Amino acid sequence: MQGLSPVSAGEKPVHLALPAEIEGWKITTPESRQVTPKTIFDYMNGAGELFLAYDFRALYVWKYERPDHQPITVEAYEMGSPEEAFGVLSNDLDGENVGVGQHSVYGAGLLRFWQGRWFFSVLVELETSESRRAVLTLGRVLEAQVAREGERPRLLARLPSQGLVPESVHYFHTRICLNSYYFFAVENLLELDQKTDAVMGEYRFGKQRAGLLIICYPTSGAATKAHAHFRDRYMGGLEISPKPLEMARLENGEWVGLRLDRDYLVVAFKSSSRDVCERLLRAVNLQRGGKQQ
Amino acid sequence: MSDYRQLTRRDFLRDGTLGAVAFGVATSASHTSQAAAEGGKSVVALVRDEKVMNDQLAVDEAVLRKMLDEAVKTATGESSAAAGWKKLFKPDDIVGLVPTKALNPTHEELVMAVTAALQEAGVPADRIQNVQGRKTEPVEKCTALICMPALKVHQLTGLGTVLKNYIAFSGKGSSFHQEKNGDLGSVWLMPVVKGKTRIVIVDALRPLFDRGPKPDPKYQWNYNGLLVGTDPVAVEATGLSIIMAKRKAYKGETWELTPPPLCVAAADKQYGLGTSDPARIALKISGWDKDLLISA
Repeated sequence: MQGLSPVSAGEKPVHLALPAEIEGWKITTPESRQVTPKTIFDYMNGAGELFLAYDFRALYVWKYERPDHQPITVEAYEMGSPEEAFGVLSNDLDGENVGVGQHSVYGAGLLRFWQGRWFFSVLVELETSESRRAVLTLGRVLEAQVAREGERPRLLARLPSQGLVPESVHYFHTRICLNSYYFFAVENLLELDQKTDAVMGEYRFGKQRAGLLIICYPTSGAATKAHAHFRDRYMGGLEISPKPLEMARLENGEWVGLRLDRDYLVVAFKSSSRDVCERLLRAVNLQRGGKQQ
Repeated sequence: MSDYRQLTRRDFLRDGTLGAVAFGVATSASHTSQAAAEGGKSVVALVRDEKVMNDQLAVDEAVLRKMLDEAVKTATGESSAAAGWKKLFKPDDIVGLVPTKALNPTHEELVMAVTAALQEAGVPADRIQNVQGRKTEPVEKCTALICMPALKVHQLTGLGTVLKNYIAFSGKGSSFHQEKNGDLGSVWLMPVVKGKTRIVIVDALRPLFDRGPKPDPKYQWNYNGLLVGTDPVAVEATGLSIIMAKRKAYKGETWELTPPPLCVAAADKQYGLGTSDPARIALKISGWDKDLLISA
């Protein structure tokens, strides 16, 4: 049972083959169902936007069924780059890394992993020892057919490691994704679009907490404009400390802080204290090729 | 709520409504609901049964039908379910069923149970049809609709249940995502839909409390419930309260929905579709009470 990926000039197509039977579940789709950017809304309605936000190219779907058991759905998403494939996975990194692909997350019957330009999802809605085995085996079958290539987005290395909650990390470009991770405003205050790279994560230092968002804009001018927009609309009327670390206490006691550095804008948010806010803003190393603390 | 397009998180902090917005509830009551009411309150029935699904998640149709009957009786205030159905639907109605089709879909057994109940109430089989989808012609022909989504969180609209359930009829679903989720109430005022919804039946057998709409069993649980009412906003607000309570139980602290489901309060305050104010909702609970997550 195969799915054939579309290719760009100079690339070899990737054939994905799945077994006819696994742990008693039998494949019911003679050929994989192919979903394109034009048809993704037919397959998953509006949820398709979350994939289009990561340069989605194609999706192949297979179904397995077994009497008196929940079906298994296998989805193989071809994205524009390994970074984008990781980005889709980073929608939710909370789960067990079961060692499939370049990074995997498993929980309660759903295996999600990325490898190369591919993001995979293998789902059974009810986890049993058999269904877990079937899901993980299918994952390994897929993993073996796609080259390990590419790295996680480089911008992730800008997130300071100390205090970072690893499963809270997200990589994205657009406001659609930001708003599904943390809500600042209805407006696009940070002027995010497909050309912006962004990473965010949650930090914990004992009982102290904060969130950190690092955005890389295409130009320093774009970063400056977004900084002004956010500062005016979100921090307007507050007492703000002077540059380079602009921090302010919100009405509920949380702290928010900004740091603008060339084409980077760093935002510390939901910080439980000024100290944590400042500490995080300072900890981000924005030097070219710089390492994190 | 002022024009939600201008809202920032700080606005909610300033007026102390962050929690209310996260819960999607209005902070004052000025709705103009035409819904059935009890003492000025919109009635929402929550019926649960521990045995409605087995350990393989298979639905017991007989148990589900009992739950449905109990919920309809309660929501309509009639002495029996049959009387409740007959109060809502006449034999000459053309009834459109609007279940959720994909991604945590409404259980087919619930669609079948509703169809059977309608027929028992005198609506001929050929006047009952599933009209969910982008084609509006079937909806136009309907004289009555039953909104019957599954309870779930949605990463693009906060909640993807009652108010979002007619989005396909608009032909421009994506335009109600993100900053425009507050406008979902407008879909209910489209001529093909307006005034036709007689009852809302939410499938809360196995809701999804995060990362929706795509299913993730890590965030699904067997709640084994049905939420039923004639006020769509009241039913939505009640489902949202259950979701928020589940999220809090899962994390051990308040876990805000992102994006906030602005559509719920807006459906009340801007579109007058019903009430999202808990003080104006009469919640009537029956059946299995373990891990209820909400109180009357």
